[in-house]
Amino acid sequence: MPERLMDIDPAVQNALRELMQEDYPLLLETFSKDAVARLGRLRSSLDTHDWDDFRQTAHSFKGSCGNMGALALHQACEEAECAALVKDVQAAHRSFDKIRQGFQRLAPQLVI
Amino acid sequence: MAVHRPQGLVSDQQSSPLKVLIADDNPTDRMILGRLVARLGHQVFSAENGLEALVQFSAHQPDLVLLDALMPVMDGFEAARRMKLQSGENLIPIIFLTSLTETGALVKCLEAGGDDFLTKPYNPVILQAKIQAFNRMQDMHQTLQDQRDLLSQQHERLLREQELAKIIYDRVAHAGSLDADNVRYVQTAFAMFNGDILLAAYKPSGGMHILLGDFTGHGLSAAIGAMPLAEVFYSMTARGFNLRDILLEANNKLSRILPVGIFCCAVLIEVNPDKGLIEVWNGGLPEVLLLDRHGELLHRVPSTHLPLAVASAERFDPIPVVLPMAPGERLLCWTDGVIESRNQAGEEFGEERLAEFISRYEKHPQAIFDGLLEALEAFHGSPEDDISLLEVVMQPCKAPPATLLHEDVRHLDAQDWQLAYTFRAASIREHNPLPFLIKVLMEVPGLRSHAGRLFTILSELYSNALEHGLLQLDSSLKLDSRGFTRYYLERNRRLAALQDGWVRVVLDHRPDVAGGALTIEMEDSGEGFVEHNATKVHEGYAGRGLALVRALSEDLRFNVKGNKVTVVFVWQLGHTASS
Amino acid sequence: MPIKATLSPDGQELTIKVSGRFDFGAHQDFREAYERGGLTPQRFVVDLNDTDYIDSSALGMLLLLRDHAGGDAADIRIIHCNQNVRKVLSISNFEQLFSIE
Repeated sequence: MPERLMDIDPAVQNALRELMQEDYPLLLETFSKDAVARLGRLRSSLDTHDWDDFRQTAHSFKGSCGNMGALALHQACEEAECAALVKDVQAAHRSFDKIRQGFQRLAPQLVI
Repeated sequence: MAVHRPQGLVSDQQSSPLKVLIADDNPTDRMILGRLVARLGHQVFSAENGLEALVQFSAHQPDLVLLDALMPVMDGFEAARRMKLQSGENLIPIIFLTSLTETGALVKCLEAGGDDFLTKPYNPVILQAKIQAFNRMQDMHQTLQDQRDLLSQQHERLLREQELAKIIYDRVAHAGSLDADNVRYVQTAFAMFNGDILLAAYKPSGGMHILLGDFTGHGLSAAIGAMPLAEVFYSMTARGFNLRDILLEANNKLSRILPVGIFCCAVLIEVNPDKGLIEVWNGGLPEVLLLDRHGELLHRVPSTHLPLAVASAERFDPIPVVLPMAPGERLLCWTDGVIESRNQAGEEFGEERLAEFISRYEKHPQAIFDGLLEALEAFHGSPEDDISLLEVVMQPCKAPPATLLHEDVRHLDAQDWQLAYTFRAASIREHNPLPFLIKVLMEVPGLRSHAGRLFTILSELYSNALEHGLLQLDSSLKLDSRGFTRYYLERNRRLAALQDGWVRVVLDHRPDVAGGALTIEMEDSGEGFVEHNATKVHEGYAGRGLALVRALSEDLRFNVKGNKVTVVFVWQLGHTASS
Repeated sequence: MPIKATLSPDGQELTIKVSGRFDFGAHQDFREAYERGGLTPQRFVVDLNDTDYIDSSALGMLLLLRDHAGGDAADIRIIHCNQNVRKVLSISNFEQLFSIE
């Protein structure tokens, strides 16, 4: 079984904490809010089979996950992107679930 | 679009804040990147899609753009393309924000005008390095633009000055005022602009002065020198001054006006059809050639004088060479553009080729002028643009043309008067009294249209008084060309050595009902002439000259001693001089 | 260096040697050769041994040198002239102003 990627890389978070200083909480909040919005969007585009929208949303989410050090989520988003590229409905559903679960695990760790 | 100039960033330490535009549709990424850039000391503007990015771009004119490729509304590619267009020739670097997986999109980024990529997740070290690199590049670009603009301005100014110089020069530098049929010339525009000048003007007595000059320094320098030279030439010729006086004044004037090191190589020619002779002064131009009716070389006049504006007044030698010239004989003259004309291989036309060319035209010398132009064109491969070429053919003697003197504004209307003037040795050595005398005579309005004739009369009488009376020259010397030269050399030598003696001129004008009578008396302190034989008086004493005076006047007689001549000139109202 | 200036040991004579083309491009260097501060030689020598080309701007430079050296009172020799150089100098009759060898 492939080694599981961590949900959040503490080194990255430390660096972000140092970078954002007193705005660190705001950053976490921004990410969380955006993540919820992304999930909603992914859900609806999956339902309507709007692959372009699904792909773009996953792509953008992937980017911020990477910047936040949310490695497992980052990979899940990439899988979603690929699925959308080939219009693979099954793969798209699977990757969507992974994203949803991944965020559920992560969310509590994003609270100061 | 106005240019934004970031302050110079030369050292590795970043020293000046830039304006950075960040366009990314993800708020998290925007926040992180924005903070990274701000921490580096720069000013951040944000946008969440391509359209907003364009708006921010126009509003704030950033120094650097960080652009996410995939954005809603308008993507990064389109935004980049438009930003590049808006920047025009200014360099505003665009760094695309991308993920490694989109390698296919990397090509698209470059095609859209992207200058670099920054991958997510953002690495602060790499970000800083890229920003600095682009900042340095932009500085260089700006410097280049500034220098190019400066050069361009200066070049424009130079072109304008040259155009101005050309306009000034055109008005002055060529023989446009003369349509004589015994003079043919070619002066190309380029030659004129390179400093060649060609002037020609009739003398009051019917001869002609011609000047071919070549200013060093070209362009503006030549334009500066051409005007005073032309002014001296035209005004003094019109007033009857001879070459010597004109040369002295021209050298003085140009020496004063031109900077040291700028000078004018020149040939000055006086054509005197009445006497069948020419005077040639050559200071710095190639040999002037005199050919006979059959194209055979009679004489060369090489450059033996310092060019104009080189020598001080004491050192300057204004004495021309004097040569007889019969009708049909021709003079050829050119500046060094002819000799230095080059063919495709870079060879010069050269003096030898020129000499050989001329010798081929024996039997039909009238074709030399056109033939030479053709030969130069054939040699050069195209029409030569830098030549000045002059041909003067001696015409049969003609009556002098109507007066060309300036009308003096003062109208004293002097009608009934007598003027006596005595010129003593010192004056005679240095000055020519004729222009002064003519000017006096021009105070009589009725005499103005006879200026040419009067000048001829005075000129002849004065020559005789001076050369035969005071200098005691024997005019029989003037029978052949070598004799001519010896005669004039001797004349100048004796004139320079003149210590005693005088010439007295009495001008007496009386008006009558229909016009007036002018009596001219010229007396010299010489011995007169020994022979009183009537025929010998006319031939041996002064040859053709006196015959001419006789033809122009009412009466001519000598005193017993032979050192005083009286001439009466009558004029009538309503009768102007005929040409 | 196309223009080389050498002062005699007693400081009385300055020799300026011109190599290559003696034309407008040499203007600044030629002037500097004699206008350098502290030089007051009585005599000047212009050595054209290595000069293969001379034009009217060079003549102008020689006149400037002559003006600097006292005009009519200047003592300037132009030496080692080849045939072409001599021809250019002679058509403008510069031997009336300079001693040409």
